Amino acid sequence: MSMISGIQPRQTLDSLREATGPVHSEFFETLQAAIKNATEANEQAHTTAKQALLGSDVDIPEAMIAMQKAELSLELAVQVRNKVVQAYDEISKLQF
Amino acid sequence: MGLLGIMSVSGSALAVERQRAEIAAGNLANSESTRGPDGKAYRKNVAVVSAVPAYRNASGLVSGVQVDTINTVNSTVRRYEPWHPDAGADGYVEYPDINPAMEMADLMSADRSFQLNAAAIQSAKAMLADSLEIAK
Repeated sequence: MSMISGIQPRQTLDSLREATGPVHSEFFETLQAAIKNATEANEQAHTTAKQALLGSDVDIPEAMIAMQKAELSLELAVQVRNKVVQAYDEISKLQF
Repeated sequence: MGLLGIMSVSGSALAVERQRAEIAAGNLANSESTRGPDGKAYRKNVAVVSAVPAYRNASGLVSGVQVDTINTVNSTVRRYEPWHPDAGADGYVEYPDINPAMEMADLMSADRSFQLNAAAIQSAKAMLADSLEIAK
């Protein structure tokens, strides 16, 4: 029979908070990352679709998948941006 | 990678199935070819498919797929056709050892697998769209 050990305190959360600095930057880092992803996916889709249209050795499904990835990445970036703006709106409405 | 990774993995399967269909179509088209670029009868091609590591998720390695090699089946069927320009001194002509029914079955198998993997991509897409709905 093994003893049931107590719940260990989470030290990682504190260290994470120290590492990230001010709270708001997390939001914008996420937004920046989402936009970067979307831009990269869009460029990839652009090149693949162009190659497919020019008749080089690119699969049509491959081009479609790249386009779909770009669309979804952009959608993600837009959603993150919406949340940021929503949070900003909420704060601007605060009355003192 | 996650759900976008599913798209890459299923995408690799789409490419493989397309190549299998191409090979079956080539075999079907050449089932009666008694002469190729090398002057000999056409030989049946077979795709050898292998798994390739695509990315690593939390529980392990997720594999994509690729066509490893295209093997040539080195057998022919001999038919007695002395009038044929490619007939040998004994009057026999070498024909490729291709059974059109088998090639047709291969083609259908590739077609169905293509559909399966396209459906997997659709699922990944729907799951991603649903995830984005959470934020709305």
